[in-house]
Amino acid sequence: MKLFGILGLQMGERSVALQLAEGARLRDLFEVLGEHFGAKFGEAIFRQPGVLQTYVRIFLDDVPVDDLDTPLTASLPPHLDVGTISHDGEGTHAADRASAKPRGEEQARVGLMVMSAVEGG
Amino acid sequence: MVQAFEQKTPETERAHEANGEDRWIPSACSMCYGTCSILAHRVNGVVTKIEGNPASEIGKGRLCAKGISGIMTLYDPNRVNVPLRRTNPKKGVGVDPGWKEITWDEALDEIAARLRKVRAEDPRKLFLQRTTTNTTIGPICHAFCHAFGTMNQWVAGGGLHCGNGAHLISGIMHASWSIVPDFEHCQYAVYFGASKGHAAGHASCSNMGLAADARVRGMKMVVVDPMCNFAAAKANEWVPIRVGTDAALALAMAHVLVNELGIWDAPYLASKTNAPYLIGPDKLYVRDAETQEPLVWDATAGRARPYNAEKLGQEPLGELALEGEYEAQGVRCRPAFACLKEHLARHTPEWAEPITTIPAATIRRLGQEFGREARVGSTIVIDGVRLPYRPVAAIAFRGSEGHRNAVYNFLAIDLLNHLVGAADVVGGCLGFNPVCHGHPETKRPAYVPYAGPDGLMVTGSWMVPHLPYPFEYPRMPKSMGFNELFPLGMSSPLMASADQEERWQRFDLPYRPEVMINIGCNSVMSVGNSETVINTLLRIPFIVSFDLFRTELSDLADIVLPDMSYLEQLDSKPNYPFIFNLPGGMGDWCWAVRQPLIEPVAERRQMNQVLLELAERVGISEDINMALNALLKLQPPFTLKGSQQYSFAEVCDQHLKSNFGPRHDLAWFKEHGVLSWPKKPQEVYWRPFVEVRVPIYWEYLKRVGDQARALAEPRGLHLPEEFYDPLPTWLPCPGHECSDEQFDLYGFYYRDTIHTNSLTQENAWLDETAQLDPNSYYIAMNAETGKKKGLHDGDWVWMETVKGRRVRGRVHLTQGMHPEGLGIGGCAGHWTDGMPVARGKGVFFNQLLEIDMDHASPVNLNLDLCVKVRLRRCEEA
Repeated sequence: MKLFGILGLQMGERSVALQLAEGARLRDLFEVLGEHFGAKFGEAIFRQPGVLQTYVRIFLDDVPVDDLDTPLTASLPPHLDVGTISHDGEGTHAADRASAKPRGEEQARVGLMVMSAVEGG
Repeated sequence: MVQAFEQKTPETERAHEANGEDRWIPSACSMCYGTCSILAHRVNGVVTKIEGNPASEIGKGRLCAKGISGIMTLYDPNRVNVPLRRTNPKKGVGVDPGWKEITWDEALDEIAARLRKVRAEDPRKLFLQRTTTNTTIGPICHAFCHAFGTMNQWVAGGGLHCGNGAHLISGIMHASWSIVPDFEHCQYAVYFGASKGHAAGHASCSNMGLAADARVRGMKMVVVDPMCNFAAAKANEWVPIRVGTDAALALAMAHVLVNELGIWDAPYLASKTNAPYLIGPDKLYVRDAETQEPLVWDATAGRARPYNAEKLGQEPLGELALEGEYEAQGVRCRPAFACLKEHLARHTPEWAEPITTIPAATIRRLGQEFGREARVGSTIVIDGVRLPYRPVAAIAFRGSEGHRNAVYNFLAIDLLNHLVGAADVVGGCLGFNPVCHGHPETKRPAYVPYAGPDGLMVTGSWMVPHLPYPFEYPRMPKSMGFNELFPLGMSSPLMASADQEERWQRFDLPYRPEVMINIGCNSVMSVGNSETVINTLLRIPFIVSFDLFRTELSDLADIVLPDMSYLEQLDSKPNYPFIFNLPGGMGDWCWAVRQPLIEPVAERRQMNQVLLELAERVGISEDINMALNALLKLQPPFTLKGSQQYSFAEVCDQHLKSNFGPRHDLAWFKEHGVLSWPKKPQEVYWRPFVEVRVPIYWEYLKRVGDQARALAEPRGLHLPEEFYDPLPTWLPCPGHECSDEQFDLYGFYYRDTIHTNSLTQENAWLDETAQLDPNSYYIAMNAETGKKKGLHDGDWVWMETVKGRRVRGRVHLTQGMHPEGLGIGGCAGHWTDGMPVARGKGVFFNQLLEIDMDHASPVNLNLDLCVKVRLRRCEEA
């Protein structure tokens, strides 16, 4: 697990290696991280329990994912079917992951980044 | 220091001559953020002409005066061509920085060292500021800030003046960055301080043609504006209005519709808005005790039920009540529409007349015309699909929205569309492309709005990660701009305000900005009065500025870096997101690229590449790669990997292949310029096909207000409650509350079609054009008012505010101005010797603006852009 940008600095650790139970999902990972880092972790990424701030991005094997129910054991296919249209049409979702081949012994690489920002024009 | 294009190497010159090159090369304009597609004629390595690209939907082959003049910026001999280091530690207006030429390595070494230091201490000490005009730089700037760990980024005047209200409310109500009439089918369009279709703004040149065709077809165009400007001059009717009072007019028109004519689109309101949601005496939704979902009154069942009963596994809802009074959950309650109807009853034309100066009879007629032309209930068949037909639109932008009452001004105007069901249907008010099903081969990019909390719409595509809805509820601020307190705002005046330090102290901000990266922005002139902005800049120990020219801001910098102009740059997405800059309505989807048109000149570098290099030097390459994966929505196998170092060209190549497949790589786009495919009616007129609701009653605004005030008031920041009511009203600007009768005129600035803010003031052709224009460099004033004051056309005057700020300029007396208005175009009046063409030309309106929280919207932070002034004749400057 890697905490990118300000998260790593706020939590005092950029990388964390964790062993999770078979079938664990992103949601389970964040629960463990909450215990690891304390309340400041939840405050930084959740708008309410279990619901991410809209500007927080999760990466699984470098690819942004939106769904906290995405299983960590799923792996990306060599070339994702980019024809999937979901609510924003461009993220990768639990269904895509579920249909992907198992990763076997390879560790899941999860990243997390806070991306709050402003705009105008 | 100054090296012109002619100094390119003899070898390059000979190679071009030997080739006898004569090519038209596709690219994208950036003389404003309209970003129209262009063709550049290059002969032996020299760009000799720029035209619109007829193969592209973006501009449709048209190009405005600014676009064809870009060539003068490219070859301007006053460009910054090498990195410069300040040698004089003293900073200030008129202080010689003592510039010394340095190498790129020297510059980047020093900058990276500073960045590493502040990142180790607190990354929020980095403050990044950029221009809004160049759309190429957005993602890389966001990515750099996210990777570095700072949220302190803004687009200065571009956001503070026009972006806050218009974009977030367009996002909430239309899932888009802005709104525009459906030019192809609209019969009656009312423009409130907007210029869409008149040589300025999003999808600029496309909209010009579409608006012109619509007028020829017979669309009646009414322009509400203090000035008979570029839009009003082409309109069927100009309605002069007192500056900053648009909400009063719009609400009175809505009252005429609802309470005098009984015109509203009941099926639309019941199924596509929160009009049927029951509102309790506390102004909040009455919620189902078990599910906490908002309740509606099912008139068929005769009881209150969750608005989404069917999704909760209950039987389908019957007819939903929009009027009446009911009892639910033990309280008396009414549908939101009933609350709105009663609220509007107080906003009669007679109420609005003394506020707006528009006769009540005119307001009533405008409301009647809008209601009649809406043809509520009608349908039309487009490409074999039967769709709702509502050929009316009310649109707004900065002229109406750029005030302290920004939120209600914009919302009141857009309510007109929603009352008659003219939102994203044929002939109505359209967002710019809120739904896209993607390219036929890849189904990318694809996005559709969806229902969020309380069934309200979440936009499917947005410019930044901060979504308009659901927004974050107010929290104690940790950013320089206090954005956490104002979830409905984006750019904040606190980034450069007079009360900045006081506010930071009161809210215990635990850091201060120590390094500023400025990218093409001249905030000294683009935000408000220069004295205030300069004072904030002088407190920042180290400033780096990427610039085309040495501006008033770069004169305060420690290092100035030579940026490339848009004709020298590469970009894989000049017109994306489509909600920003692709024309709305039917036609084609079109993806264009920008590419360098000439060989690199002198030491100029594209800032995108420089930021990637800085990321590597600071040790955040992996972070910036992840941020770019998210921002560009890159998909395997085209994601950026780990800490691998990519050039900006490689990022662009990955981006294009991720969207359109390996065949459509950067090389393909450089050759062809654009990739187009046809739009479908279900994409353009999407509202009937997507199950989402939008709020005509802003219930959450009350909740936001309660929470924001609870945090702000104990620390001395007053947020008036009346700005947070769920229903819009007109609230005065500070200028309206000025009681000193000497100050009898309202100064405002307008978007000139000849210039783009301060960006183009140095362009020699545009300067020449502006000098021939009767308004561009003058203060436009009502002729009768001028006569009463004994003024003559061309007289020199001081324009002064109550606070004692003043600017000098020449008046142009015209009948095309409200009797109380004084209009100044763009952002002129430069004084730096780095911009010799611009220096001393025109009037610096922003110098009159106060920059503090008292002059900003307490809801979305938009700065108030009208100011009460007096005129005094003076001698020639």
